[in-house]
Amino acid sequence: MKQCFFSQNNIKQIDYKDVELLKKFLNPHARVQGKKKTYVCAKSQRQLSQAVKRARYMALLPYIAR
Amino acid sequence: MSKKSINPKTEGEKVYELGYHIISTVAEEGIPAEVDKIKAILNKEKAVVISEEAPKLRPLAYKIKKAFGGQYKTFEKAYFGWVKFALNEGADIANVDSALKASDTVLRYILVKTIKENTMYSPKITVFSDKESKIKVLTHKEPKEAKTASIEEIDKSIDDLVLDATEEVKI
Repeated sequence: MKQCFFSQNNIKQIDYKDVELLKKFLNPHARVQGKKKTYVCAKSQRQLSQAVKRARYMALLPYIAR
Repeated sequence: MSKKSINPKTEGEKVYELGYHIISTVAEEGIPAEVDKIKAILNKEKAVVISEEAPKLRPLAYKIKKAFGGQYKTFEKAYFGWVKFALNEGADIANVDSALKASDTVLRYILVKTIKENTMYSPKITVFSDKESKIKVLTHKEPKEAKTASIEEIDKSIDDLVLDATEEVKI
């Protein structure tokens, strides 16, 4: 079974500036993928969504992509 | 945001990160002066800079408007930079916030609580995503601690395995 990416790599704080990393967890419409697809643990998934929202506010990531 | 319980572990010190966009109408040569202005705001609160990255021009994911005396200007590019700093007990982050809000050249900013350690996993922010950078991200791994197993230890582990195997055979 696949394990949480962030726990495996010992990432304690997910950085909103790390756009290339965050992009891996977005779907083509730039929405955050669910836990079932990302295999990220609940704690990291909460941090991930927070980081994506910060990156969107700073225009590092789009809110929507078509 | 004025009073919060003090964490005894950090002895009243709080680590913040400020990410900011400087408007693209500022010339490349004028950027160091803009950074100094932001540093001056932080110095007023006696902030200790932990790490930083100089602003670099990058395209924005969407257009951002900013009002200049009743008129809006739209920006598609901006210089993005960040500073990580620590504030001691008694310093107020709200002062930094209000000073940045009043700034003419800061298009947008964000203040977040963070940790002292490096939080970036990818090697660097790439302005234009290309195939090479993606490969780099995928292949990048945290350096593992070097294993220093002496010859004796290896011998011992082999002996243990041999013993286990012989025991199994007996059963």
